[in-house]
Amino acid sequence: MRRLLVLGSFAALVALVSGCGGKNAAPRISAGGATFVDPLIQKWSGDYKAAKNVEIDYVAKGSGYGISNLTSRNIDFGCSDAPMNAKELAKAKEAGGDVVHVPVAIGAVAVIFNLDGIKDLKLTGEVLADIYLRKITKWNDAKIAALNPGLGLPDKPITPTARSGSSGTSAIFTEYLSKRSPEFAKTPGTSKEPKFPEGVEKKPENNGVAEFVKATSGAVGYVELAFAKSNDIAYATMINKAGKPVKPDPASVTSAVDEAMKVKQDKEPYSLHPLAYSFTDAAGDGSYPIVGASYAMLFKKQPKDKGPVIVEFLKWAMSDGQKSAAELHYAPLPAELAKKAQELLGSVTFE
Amino acid sequence: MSSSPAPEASPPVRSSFGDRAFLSLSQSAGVFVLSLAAAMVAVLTYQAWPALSRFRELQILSSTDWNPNEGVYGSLLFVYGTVATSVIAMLVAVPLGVGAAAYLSEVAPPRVRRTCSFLLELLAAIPSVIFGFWALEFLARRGLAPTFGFFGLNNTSGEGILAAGLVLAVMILPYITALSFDVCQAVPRSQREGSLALGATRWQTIWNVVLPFARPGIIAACFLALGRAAGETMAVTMVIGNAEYLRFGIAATGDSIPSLIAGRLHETSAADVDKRAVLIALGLLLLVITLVMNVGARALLRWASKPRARPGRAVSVIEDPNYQLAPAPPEQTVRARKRAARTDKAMMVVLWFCQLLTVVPLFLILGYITYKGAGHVSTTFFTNLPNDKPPGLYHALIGSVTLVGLAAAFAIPVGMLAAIFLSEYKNYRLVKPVRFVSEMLGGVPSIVIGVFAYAILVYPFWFAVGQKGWGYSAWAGGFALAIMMLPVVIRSAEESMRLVPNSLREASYALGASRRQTVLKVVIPAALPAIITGVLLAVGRVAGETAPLILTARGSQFLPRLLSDETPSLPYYVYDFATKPGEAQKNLAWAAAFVLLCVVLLLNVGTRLLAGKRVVAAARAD
Repeated sequence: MRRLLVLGSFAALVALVSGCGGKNAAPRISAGGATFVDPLIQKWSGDYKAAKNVEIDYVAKGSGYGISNLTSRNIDFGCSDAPMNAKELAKAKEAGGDVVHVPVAIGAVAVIFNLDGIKDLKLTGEVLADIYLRKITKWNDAKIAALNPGLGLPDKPITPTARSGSSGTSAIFTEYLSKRSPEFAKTPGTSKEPKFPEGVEKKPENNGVAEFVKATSGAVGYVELAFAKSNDIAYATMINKAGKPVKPDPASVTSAVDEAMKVKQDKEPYSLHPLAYSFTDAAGDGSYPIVGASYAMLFKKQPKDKGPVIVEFLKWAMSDGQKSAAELHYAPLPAELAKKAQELLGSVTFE
Repeated sequence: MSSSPAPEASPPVRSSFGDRAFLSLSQSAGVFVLSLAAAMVAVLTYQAWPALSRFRELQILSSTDWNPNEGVYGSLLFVYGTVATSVIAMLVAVPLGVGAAAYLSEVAPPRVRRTCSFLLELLAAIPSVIFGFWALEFLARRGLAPTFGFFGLNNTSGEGILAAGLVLAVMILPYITALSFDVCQAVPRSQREGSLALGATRWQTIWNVVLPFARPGIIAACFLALGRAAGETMAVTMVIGNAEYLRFGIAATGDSIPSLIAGRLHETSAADVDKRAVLIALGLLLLVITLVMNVGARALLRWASKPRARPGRAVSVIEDPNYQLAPAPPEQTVRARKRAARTDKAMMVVLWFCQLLTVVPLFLILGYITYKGAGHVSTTFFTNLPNDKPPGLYHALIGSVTLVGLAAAFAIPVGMLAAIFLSEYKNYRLVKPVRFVSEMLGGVPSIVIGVFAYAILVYPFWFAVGQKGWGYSAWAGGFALAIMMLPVVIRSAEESMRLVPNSLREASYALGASRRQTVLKVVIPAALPAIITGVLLAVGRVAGETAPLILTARGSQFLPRLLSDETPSLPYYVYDFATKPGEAQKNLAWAAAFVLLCVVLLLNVGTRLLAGKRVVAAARAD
């Protein structure tokens, strides 16, 4: 009897849960990928639910997750900070045809550090590359000290921290270091899953890196600015291409974006997509050098039921949604880029 | 293993249609268990084939260079991480566990024994993700990090192979202690009495009589524990450091096979043939390792529990009739006695200390999780969603209930039928293989079950590249949990039914009842309390499972509405939010861990208190 009761109550609960979908439930879009945009997308998700009664269910696991799960078609749209390369595009094409990439957010990759009370630190791309190549292993190294006179750097080992797994943030970061250091460009080079030398710690997701650096004295890492700001982690001032020290903020990111958009994108993977840009190491006195965009990726051919809902959401994200961007320390999409992106979304077909 | 095999009572009359249907139903449940295991091995092998067929070329077990960019998949470092953490765990847990078992069995007063076994059962019931969270925040950051710093070792986070090994040790301690305790208890009383009668001290009796007698059982317990340690995912992945280099030394970080699979498999699509195949091949390797451990352990246990005449030690016969043993000088005897007494006293303290060290982690974990989590549990935790303000995990609670409910709805009927087949149709040929396979199924690492469920229900392995998968869903998560629950249900239901006296069956047959009637109306009602207990314990166990859910149900920011939706769960969120830096999210993780711990422990304690000791003993299916 008791067993029947237990079974019955389980069955009732299951029925309850599966039944509460109902007829007039909000449409739900399953999405996932980059953790770079996660804070912004979660904000959008809440706002969009309130405004349009559509649920955007975004699960952040990294850009690689977004690309592979879009290719497996486990999710309706994915996000990645590194646009798909030729190989990935070919795989995706086999799976579901052409993939449209539209930028939804632009942000800075902040170089975060934990140095017991030191709040500001100046670094160059070359020095940062040496840190990640393990050529500089102490905080009081002459090269760091030369950039930060009078800072009183401790004689402490540096624990450089990178992303484990396939990450668009890693792609942006290594692209920047590759541009600044020929040695870094050779190995590990630009990659979503770079093979750093021994001694570089690896943590999953932007969250994992931020969490580790926050908890570990002597650590340095790279995360999207929102993760540094919202978690109160110190981040470095970078010396940009023009030789000027710049802090990451919406203004310095916008400056980098404006400069980068003047440059013709002839290198892969950017050349494969109409609206993909390499924003790293941009010219201009006020440009922050480690900047990247997160792209929403969706198949050009969309099902009739969900397709229009996704496109509507992305259009909303590029217009109304951008109002939340600055508040979460992302740079708003330039109006021109947003307009082009909306046009590109018009090419999506529903069947 | 508490019941003696009784001769099967057979029904007097030829079976009717209903009877035959009942038989084939329960037999097919048994066949289902067999085919489930076969399917698991087959699917994993099929998916791993691209890697297995080019094993050398991909340098899987011949290199330590893991660099998927270059198509190099040297996995030795993950194998090393798995082995090293397991070895550390065993080095710590075996002496402590055996010492604690010896103390409980031979020294402890009954009240201490009862309390300690109860505490050990609680320790065993704690979900692995909570072990991981505790190990990360307490053991690594507050314990090992300052220690490494003190000795000038270059590891500022405290994470690494040592931390992972230590948390594994805490996790397998209850198994080693409980199993060793059982085998110590099985040592005949006459052996102890003989030893004491010869003037041996308690320690001498334990060391020279009890432990040697119990040795095969203890070794078997170690094998079982080792299998568990090698397959553990969550606790290890949270503290091992996820490094991609082979490093040695006490402060080294590393990575293990299950941790690698949990972190990387969902980053691959069906199109990433090599990487996916390598990860699944590593899963297969893990499966083989744990199966070998389990088969070995069971073989040892079976061999040890067989009644057998022990050949005595060869005695050299002294031919000389006039030979006399020279008596030892009295002062020497006295000295030896004193020494033995001193050793005895010292060893009693050591054993007591072993027991103490075994239960201390329980209080550390309970205390720390309560300290961190209890304050953050508010009503909004139970009513809000993660994107609400203030955030809550209402949807994860509903999701967990759904997943566990689905698993139970699947595992209980199938498990019951299979158990009926095993216990009531003893002389069928399939019984032995079904029992064996179901025991093996209980030892399969949870992450491997996750990989299997993914291949069946998330992105079916027979789908061509380009076909739309079925996606993450409650179905897939529930299925994975059901596979974990099934062997526990079978085992406990079978044990419970075997404890029903045969005379009851005979009486039923004598009244003219058929076998179906006997089973349904006599055996099951008699065994019901024990079966329910077993089922509730199984529910408590899968309620805290995380690893397979990462690959199957994923998570979601919203309330699950359909069983085909991505479904959030409480343990998933403990893991997800534990690795987030934000104060709010971390507090949510602590609150979630506290709630999960409360649910699991209440389920456990409640069941034990309600059911009473005997029923629990029958239902325990470790």
